[in-house]
Amino acid sequence: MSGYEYGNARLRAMKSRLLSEADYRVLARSESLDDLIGALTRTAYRRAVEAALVRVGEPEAISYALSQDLIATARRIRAFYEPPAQHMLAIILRSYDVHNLKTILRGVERGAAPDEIRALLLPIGDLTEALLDDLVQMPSLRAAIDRIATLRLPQAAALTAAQAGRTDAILSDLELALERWYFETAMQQAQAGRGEAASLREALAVDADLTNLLTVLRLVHAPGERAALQRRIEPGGWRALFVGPGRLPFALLESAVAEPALAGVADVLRQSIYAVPLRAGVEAARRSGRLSDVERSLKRWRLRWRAGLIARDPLGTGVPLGYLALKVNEIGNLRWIARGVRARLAADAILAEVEWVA
Amino acid sequence: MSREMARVQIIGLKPALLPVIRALGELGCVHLDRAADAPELLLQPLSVDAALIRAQEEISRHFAQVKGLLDMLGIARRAAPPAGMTVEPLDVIYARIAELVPQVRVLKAQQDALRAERELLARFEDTMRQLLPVFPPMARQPDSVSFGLLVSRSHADVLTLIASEVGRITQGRAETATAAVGEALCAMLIVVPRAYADPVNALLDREDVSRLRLPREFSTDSPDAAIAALRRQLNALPGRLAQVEQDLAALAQRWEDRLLLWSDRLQDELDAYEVIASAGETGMTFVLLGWTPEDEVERVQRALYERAGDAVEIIRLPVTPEERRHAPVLLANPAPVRPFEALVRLYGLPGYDVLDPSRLMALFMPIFFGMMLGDIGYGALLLGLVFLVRRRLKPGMMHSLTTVLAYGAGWAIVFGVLFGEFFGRLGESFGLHAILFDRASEDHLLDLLALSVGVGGMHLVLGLLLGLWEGARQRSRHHLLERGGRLLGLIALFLLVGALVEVLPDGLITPAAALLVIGTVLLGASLGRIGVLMAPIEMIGLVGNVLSYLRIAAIGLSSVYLALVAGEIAGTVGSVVVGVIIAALLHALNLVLGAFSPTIQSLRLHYVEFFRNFYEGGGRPYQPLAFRLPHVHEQGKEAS
Amino acid sequence: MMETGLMAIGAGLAIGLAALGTGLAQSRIGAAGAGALAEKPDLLGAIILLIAIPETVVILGFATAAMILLLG
Repeated sequence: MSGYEYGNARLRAMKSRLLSEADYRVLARSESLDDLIGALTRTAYRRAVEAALVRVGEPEAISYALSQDLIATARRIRAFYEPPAQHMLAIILRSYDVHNLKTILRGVERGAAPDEIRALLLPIGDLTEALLDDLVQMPSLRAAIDRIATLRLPQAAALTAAQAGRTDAILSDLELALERWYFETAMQQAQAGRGEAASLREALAVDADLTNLLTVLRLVHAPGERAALQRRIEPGGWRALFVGPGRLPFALLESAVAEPALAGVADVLRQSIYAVPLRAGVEAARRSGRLSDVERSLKRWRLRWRAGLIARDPLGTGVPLGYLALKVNEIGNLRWIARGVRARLAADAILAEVEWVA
Repeated sequence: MSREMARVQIIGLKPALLPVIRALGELGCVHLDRAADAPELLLQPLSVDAALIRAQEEISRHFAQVKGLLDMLGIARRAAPPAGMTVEPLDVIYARIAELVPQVRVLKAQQDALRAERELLARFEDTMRQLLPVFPPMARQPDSVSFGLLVSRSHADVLTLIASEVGRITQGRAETATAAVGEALCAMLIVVPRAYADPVNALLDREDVSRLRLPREFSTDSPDAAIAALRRQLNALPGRLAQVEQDLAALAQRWEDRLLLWSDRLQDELDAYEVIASAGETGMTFVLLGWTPEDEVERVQRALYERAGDAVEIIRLPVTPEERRHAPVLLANPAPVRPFEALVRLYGLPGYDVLDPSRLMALFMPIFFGMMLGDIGYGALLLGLVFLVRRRLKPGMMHSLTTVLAYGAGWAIVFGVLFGEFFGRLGESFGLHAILFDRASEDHLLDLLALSVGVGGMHLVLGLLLGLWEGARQRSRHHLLERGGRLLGLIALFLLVGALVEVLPDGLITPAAALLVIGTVLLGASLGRIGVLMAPIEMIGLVGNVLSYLRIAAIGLSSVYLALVAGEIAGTVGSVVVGVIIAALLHALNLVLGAFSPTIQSLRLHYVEFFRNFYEGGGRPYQPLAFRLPHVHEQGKEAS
Repeated sequence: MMETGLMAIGAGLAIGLAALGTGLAQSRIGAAGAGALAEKPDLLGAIILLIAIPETVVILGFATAAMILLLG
C-alpha cells in the first residue's frame, strides 16, 4: 500500500467532472452574468453557485462561488490522504501560499482595491482565507510584511531577511525570497517522500526552472534593466536571481542571460525539455513584441506537463499534482469568462484565452 | 423482464400544451424523449417566446436560492413532502424567498467574520504572549511608549544597530530587549518616554525591519493593555458565535417545511419547462414523444381527453427493432424475484429487449449460498435473524439483501440436511447423518470438489446456451462465434478430464481434443486478427472460470471447520459454562462470516463467471415525468 | 511420515502464498475502488468485479493444495 490508492482514485473520478471544451463553449456564449450563473448551475459548480446566490448579491456570486468551490475542493482532497501521503499533498498545496502572498504583495504595492486582489487568490494552502483577507487590507507593502511577521506566518523569516538585506527592498527581491523559501523547504520535505514523491520533486524542479527562465527572458527582453541590475547584484553573478537549481544548471541559465535577443535564449536551451514551448513562445513574442506571449506558452506547457503526470504516475504524487493544476486552471478560466461576459466580449474572444487539456 | 412499452406521440393544439404537461406530470407514467431525437418525424423544435424563457430563468434562479438556503441552514431532504401544507403561488414564493435570503446572508456573514476574527486574534495574542515576559520594566510606566520589531534570526545584527540609533535619539533614555519568537524570528522591544515617541517612530519607519503591527483597536501604548483587550475580545467571541448560530437554527426551524415544499414545487415547474424544451412542432400543433407501459395507454388517453378534450390526440407509433432496443426499461418481475433486480441493476440495467437475468439469479444465487453455508443450525438462526431485522428496514437495498439472505438461509438448511450438519457435528449426538456425504471428512474432499466444479460447469453451460440464444436473436455473428467456441471448449474440457481420470472411456480423448481445437478456432475467429493470440489465452481463462466455482467448496470447508473447532474447543475446556460461552462466540463469528462471505462469493460467481456469457446491461431506465406536488402551472403561462 | 509433513507444508504454502498475493492485490484495488465509489456510486457493480478478479489466484492456490493432499 502506498497510501495514494484511495485518494488518487477519487481524484481521477473528480477529474472526469472537470469542464470540457463543450462546457466552456456554452459558458462563454452567456449573454449576461445571470445567464452565466444559470449555465454554471448545470455544471459541477451547482452547489457552490446555489450557496453563493444566498451569501452575496448576484454581481459577486460567481467569484464568491468559484473561490468557495476551490476551498471546499482542497479541503476535501486533504481528507483523502493520510500521512505520509498527506504531507506530500500539503507541500503541493503550500505552493499556492506563495502564489497568494506574491499576489497580495504586488497588489498592495500598486494600491489595488482589496476586492481586486481577492479575486486573484487561490486560498488552498496553509494560509487560510481569514489570514489572507487581513493582509489584503494592508495599506502598503511594508505594512503587509509587518503584518506577516506579527502573525508569524511561516514565510515571515524569509521575507524579513530579504527586507533586512536591502536598503530598499523591492518587490522582486521579496518574490524571489518567497520562491526560494518554498523551493528549499518543499524539496527538503519531499526527500522524505520515497518513490511516490518522485513526481513532486520533479514538479518542484520544473517550477524552479520555469521561474528562472522567466527571469532570464525578462532580463534579455529589457537590456536596460539588465545593465542596471548587473551593477546591483553581487559578484556571484546572475545566479543571485535564480531559484533552485531545478533541472537546468545555473551556468546554462547565466549564459542565456548574456544573449542579445529572446531567440538566443531559446537556442541556448534547445536541448532542454522546455525547447518546444520556448521556441513557440519566442516566435509569438517576436510577432507581437509582448514578453507575455512566452510566459503564456510556458504556462500552457506546464499545465499539459502536470496533467500528463496523472497518467505517468497513477499511484504517487502525480495524480494530486495533475488534478490540482487542472482544477486551478479551471478556476482561472471561469474567472476570466466571468470578466469577459461582464465586459460583453464576443464568445470567441473569451474562448481564445481559455486553456484546457483535452 | 421489462414491462411492455408503447411508443406514443401526443399531438395537440399549442394552447393545450400546458394542460397536457400538467396532466402527464400528475399521471406520472409517461417517459418523454426529445422530439429532435426522432428525425424521421421531421419535427421542428417547439419555438418558445421570450416571456417563457424569462419565466423559466426566474424559476431556476429561485430554485437555486432555495437549494442554497436548504444547504446553508442544514436542512436535509425528506422522502415525502411535508404534509398538510398548501403551496403558495409562485409570486408569493418569490416574495418570501426575497425576504428570507437577506436574513440568512447577514447571519452567515457575521458567522464568517467572527470565525475569521477568532483565528486572527488568537495569532496576535500568541505573538504578544511570547513577547510579554521580555518587555522592559519601563513599558509598564504610564508615560512610556513601546515599539516592537521583528526580523529574521539571520539578520539579528540589524537590531543592534537600531538599538544604538534609538539610544542616540533618546539620549540614552530608551530601554530595549530582544527575544527569539518561534524558530525563525527574532524580536526587539523598545520602550521610550512619550516625548521621544515621534522621532523614534520616524526612525523605525525608515529602517528595513518589520514592525509588530496589531490591528488599530489593540495598538495601545502598553503591552499589558493590548493583551487584555485581545483577551476580552477573544472571550466574547464564543458567545457571539453561539448567538449567531442560534439565530440561524431558529430560521431553519421556522422555514424548514416551507423551503422543502418550495423546492419540490420549483423542481416540478422546471421539469415542466424541460418538457417544453424537448417538444417539437408542426404548424399549429405541438408534438410530444415518449413511452408508456402498454397497459397504461388507455389511462393516459382518458386523462388527456378529460383535461384538453379534442384539442389533443395520443397516437401509438410503430416501433422499429432499433427503437425497441432503446426503449426505456421498467423491470417487472414476480414479487419473489424483485429483490434480485437490485443486484442485477448493480451490474447494469438490462436492455429493453434482452434477457433479464433476475429470475436466473433468484434461482442460483440462493443455491450457491446454501451450498457454501450448508448447515441446518446456521441456516435456521440466520433465517430467524433476518426476519427480526427485516421488519425495521424500509424498502430499499438493505431490505432486498435481507430477502436474498432469507432465500440463502433456506437453501442452507436444505444442504445442511444433505451434508448432515447442525452447528458442525453437533447433530451427530442426536442421530443426524449425511444423506449426500459428510463435507468435513477427508474421504469426501474429492466429492466436494467434484460437486462444486460440476455445478459450476452446468452453470457456465447454461450461461453459454443463453448467450447463443441471445446472439441468434440479435443476429450477432460475433456473439455466436465467441459463445459457440467457448461452449465447445467447455464441453471438450469436461470430456478430456473425464477421460483422463478414467470416468469416461479413453477413446473420447481424440474427439475431445478435436472439439477443443474447433472451439479455439471459433473463438479466435470472433476476435478478429488478435484472435490467433487471444483465443488460447481465453481458453485458459475458461479453465479459470470453471475452477472459480471451487470457491463453493472452499468457503464451505472453512465454514465447517470453524464450526468443528468451536465444538472441539468447547469440549476441551474444563468448565462447561466457559466451554459453552467460547463455542457460542465462535459460532456467532462463523454465522457472521457465513452470512457475508457466501453472499459476496455467489454474487461474484454470477457477475464474473455467469453474466459474461450472455448479459451486457446498458438499459435505459424508465423515468416518467412525475410531479412531486399536485397543481402545477396554475399560473397559466402560455407557450407561443 | 516425513513426506506427509512436507506435503502438508507444501499445501499450506500453496494456499498461503496465493492468499497473500490476493490480499495484496485486493487491498490496493479495494482502496482505489472505495475512492472511485465515493465519487461515482453507480460504479459499485464494476468495482465488485475488479475486487473479485484477484480472488481466482487464491482459488487456484486452493486447487493446488487440494491436489497435493489428494494425489500425494
